[in-house]
This record gives sequence, structure tokens and C-alpha cells, in this order.
Amino acid sequence: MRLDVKNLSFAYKDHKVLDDVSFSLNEGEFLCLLGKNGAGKSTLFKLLLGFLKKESGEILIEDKKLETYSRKLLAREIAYIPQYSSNTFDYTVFDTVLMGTTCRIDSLGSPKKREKRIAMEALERFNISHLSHKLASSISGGERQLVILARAIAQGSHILILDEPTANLDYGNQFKVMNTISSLKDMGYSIILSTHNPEQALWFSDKVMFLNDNKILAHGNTDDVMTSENLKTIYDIPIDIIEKNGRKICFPTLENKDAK
Amino acid sequence: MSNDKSRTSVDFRHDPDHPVTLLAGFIILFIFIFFLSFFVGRYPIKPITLIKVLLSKIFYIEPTWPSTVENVIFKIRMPRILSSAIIGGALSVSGLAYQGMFKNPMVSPDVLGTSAGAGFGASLGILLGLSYFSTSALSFICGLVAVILVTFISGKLMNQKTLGLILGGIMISSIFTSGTSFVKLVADTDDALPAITYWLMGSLASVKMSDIKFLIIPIIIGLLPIILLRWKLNLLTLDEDEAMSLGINTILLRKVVIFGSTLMTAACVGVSGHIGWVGLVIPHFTRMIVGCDYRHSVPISILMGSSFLMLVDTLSRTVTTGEIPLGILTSFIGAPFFLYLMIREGKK
Repeated sequence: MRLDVKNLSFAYKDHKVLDDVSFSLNEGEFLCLLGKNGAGKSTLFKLLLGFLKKESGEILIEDKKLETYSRKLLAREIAYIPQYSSNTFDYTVFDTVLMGTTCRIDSLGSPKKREKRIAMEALERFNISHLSHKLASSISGGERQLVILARAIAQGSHILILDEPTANLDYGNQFKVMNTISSLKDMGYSIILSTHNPEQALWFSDKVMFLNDNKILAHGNTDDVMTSENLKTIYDIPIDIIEKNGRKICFPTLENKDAK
Repeated sequence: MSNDKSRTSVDFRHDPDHPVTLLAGFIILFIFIFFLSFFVGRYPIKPITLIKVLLSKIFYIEPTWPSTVENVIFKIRMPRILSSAIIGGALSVSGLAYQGMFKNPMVSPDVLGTSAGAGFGASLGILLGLSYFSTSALSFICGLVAVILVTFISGKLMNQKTLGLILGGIMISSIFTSGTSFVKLVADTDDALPAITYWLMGSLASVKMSDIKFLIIPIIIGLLPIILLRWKLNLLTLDEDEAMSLGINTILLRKVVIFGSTLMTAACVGVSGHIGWVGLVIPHFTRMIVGCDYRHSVPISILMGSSFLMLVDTLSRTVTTGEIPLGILTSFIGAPFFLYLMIREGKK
């Protein structure tokens, strides 16, 4: 599934948030979106998901304009994984995943055997089928994100939009969840993920896009655009990128020289 | 071991056969209370007589009972039992739908001001001497205005929606209640005032069979979309963005649910006056038993609410020599029970 964004602009009243943004996401591509707070990452996602109406420009899914999709049809193409999914009411893991199949059933219908099988398969894909009977409140944060990923897979959509999916997770779970997301790329899913952790971009993504001052600062292959200069422009601190055992890591220079 | 234990404790919620068994259990309970309510009262009726009288409406049976028995069954008890069953079920399912839609287990037709709004509309209708239909329509409109105002107020408090809903509800309820007081102040003390006052306390003492149709038509219209959309109601409990991304038109769905729930509440208030707590307590109890999934909680809450209100109404006409207004009894039972639930939740 291919996504094209052409000359997209958006403003909240007089406050410009996105200015002439253009990029493409190819099938099976993992694109990481980096930018500081308020750079417009979340706004871009809201536009791609049709939550906000664009000011100008075009969003095309498989060459079809986004506006021509109903909510239900759009849900079959694009799935959204938020930073944190919470619910006042405590549903079971299975029911949570089953909600993903809603875009595949009649408007007045309920999930039947087929949808239940899809939900179970989605749980099995992430090796969490043993949690299906548990209540969402009784599982860990890392497991919950996997459940939300399973729900997205149950939607049957092939473009996944992930808004800082690991922001609320501990160090180990961040890595595990990112690994799982990365494995989806190999199955042909197109992924666009925002993060505040540049190493996630270095380790997992094919392409990186930097958003700065409402515009695209750089967009290209990870190795080409993940440079010290770009990172410094975005985060306002000097950051070196060093390579160890064939893997790159970010190394911020601390201003306080005594700091260890 | 502890893991196994926690699994069994929630297993039933997911067992597809379990809600069916539960549903059957609640249907039996409903039927039991339904018939029990006919037997007890100041004029005792033997079960065999009841069966004979009921069957005599279908088959020809030589009457061996005095005509008073027939009057008590069809003119006095039948309308009360039917209306309490319908109102109990409707108030419970309205509360259940409101709670999911506002993503808040603390809301109910009372908390959101619907009952107060509908009460004001109905008392205004009585004051103006409007027809039954116009009074019901006015009651529905005022109930709807109340919910819309409360929703608007909570929308203004972006980060404190729960607080906004509850405070907004208190404020709007208070305005409508004051409106009702004003109506009572100007009402004719011989005619309209006693009618409004007694009706506001919440009572089914004067319900007639002809009232049932004013109850049943709006309730069917309000209930139908909730039954049909019960799976999607689950998605309304999610964050707005998530629900939309899963493919539902949240704005339209929310409007349909508000319309349905408010119509049901207004119809109930129009016939029985203010019967509090049912719409708050029964949905909680339903979720404790059957879990959150609306596919199961909608039918169970209807049966549980119906059975509860039938039982309470039977108590209201039998425990004392006089008649205790139903609204007073539901508060006496509902409020302490809700407090118990809150403390129980708090301990978890």
C-alpha cells in the first residue's frame, strides 16, 4: 500500500503547523519521523488519519484521494497506534483486539466467527494469545502495546501510523516492541512512526524524515540523513553519531564537562 | 498459581456460553418476579386463580372467581407491573449507554440532568393543561436540552471532562429543578399542584393500561438503535481518535445514542415521575456480572433493571398500609448500594 503526500499545509486558525510538506511512503517501507515537541508530527498524523481537514495539498492512498474514503474504508487502509491506549471500562484483551475488526463488518452487525478467528490470529502473531482472557488492566504496558498492535493487524490495513508507541515503556520493552514493529515491515506493512529516540530511527527504519519549524528539514535513507548536523538543528544540542560493532549510536555532548 | 487464579476469575467474561446461561438465569428471575408481583398485595390472589384468570383471556374457562379478582389483576396490578418492568429496563439501559458514550461510569440520566429536564418539561405540560402527547414531547425536548447543555459544558473543560460532566449536571439539574419549583408555585393548588407533586416523587400508583402505550412506543424507538448498535457502543468507550481510526463515525453514533437514551428517559419520567438511581446502579451491577461488552450487558441490564423495579414497586405497595412513592424507595436502596460499590472499587 502506497501513501503520497503532496504540498500539504495546515494551520490552527492563524498558527501555521505544517507548511508545504511532501513525501511518499512505499509498500513495506519503515519511515521514522523525528522532530522536537510542537514540530507538527502529531498534526501530520491527524491529517493522514482524516481527523483534521487539510488547508491545502493532497493526501493519496494508492492514488486515491483521502477525502473519498469513508471512515470505515479508511480504517481498512490505515491503522493508528497511539502512544497510550486507555479505557475507563475494563475489556478483555480478546475483545480489545476484536474491536479492530469493526471496519470489516456490517454497520449494524457484531463480530462473528470469522472476525473472532482474525482477532485470535492477530494475537497469535505477537505470541500473546495466552493473554486473550485477561482484562486489559491486568497486563503490563509492553503487553498492552502489543495488544494494540494486534488490534491494528485485525483491522486488515496495510499502512500503520504509530505515534510515539514506546514513549510510556521501560527500556527493555521499548526494544521488544520496536523489534515487533520492525518485523511487520518484513511482512509488507508500510510503517510511519514518530519517536523522540533517534536511535530507534538508526536501528530500525529504512527512511527518516525530520520535521523542523513546520517544514521538512530532511527526508531520505536513514544513513544519509541521520547526520550530526541534522540532529543538532532539530534538538539544539551537539550530537555525535558513533559506530560500534557495526551499529550506530547517538552520543550527545554534555555541556557540563564534569558530568559523567 | 496466582496467575491461574486470576485467569479463572475473569475467564467467564470471555466464555461464549456463559452470557447465554446468565441470560437464561435472568429471564427466569424476571418471570418469577413478574408472577410474584401479581400474587402479593392488599388483596391476595392465589397462584392457581391467577393462572386461571390469565388463561380465561385466551381460552374459555368458567369463572369460579369473583369479578373483583379480575379487576385487581387487569386494572390495578397489570399496568403497574408492566410499567415498572418497562421503566426499570429502559432507565437501566439508558444509563448503560450514557456511561459508555461519556466514557464515565459515574453518569446516568439523573447525573446528566436528563431526568430533571424531562421532569420540568412534564410539569410544565401539566401546568399548561397540555395533552398527554404534547406533555411527553415537551418532556423529551427539555431532557434533550439538558444533556446537550451538560455535554457542551464538559466540552469546555478540556482536561477535566469528568468533573465538567458532573458539575455541569448538578448545575443544569438545579436550574431545571428550580424551574419545576416555579411551576409548582404558580400551579393551581387544588388541581395541578397535587398532581405535579405526587408525580414528581416517582410513583406508579395511578398508572393505567392506557399509559402503557405512551411508554412503550418511545421506548421501542429509543431502544432499537441501542440494541442494533450494541457492538459499536464498545468502541465509543475508547478515545475519540482511536474510535475514529477503527472506522466508526463517532459524531453520528453519539447523536443516535443521546437521542435514544434521552427519549427513553423522558418517556419514563413522563409516566412515572422521577425514579432515581436505577440508571446508575443497575449498569454497574451488570458490568460486575457480565463484563463491559455491550453485546452482553445491554440485554442483561434490561432484564436486571426490569426485575429490580418490579420488585421495588411491589414492595412500595405492600410494606406499609399506605403507598410509598417508588422514587423514595429506589433512593433508599440505590444510594447505600452505590456507596458500597464505590468503597469496593476504591479498595481494589
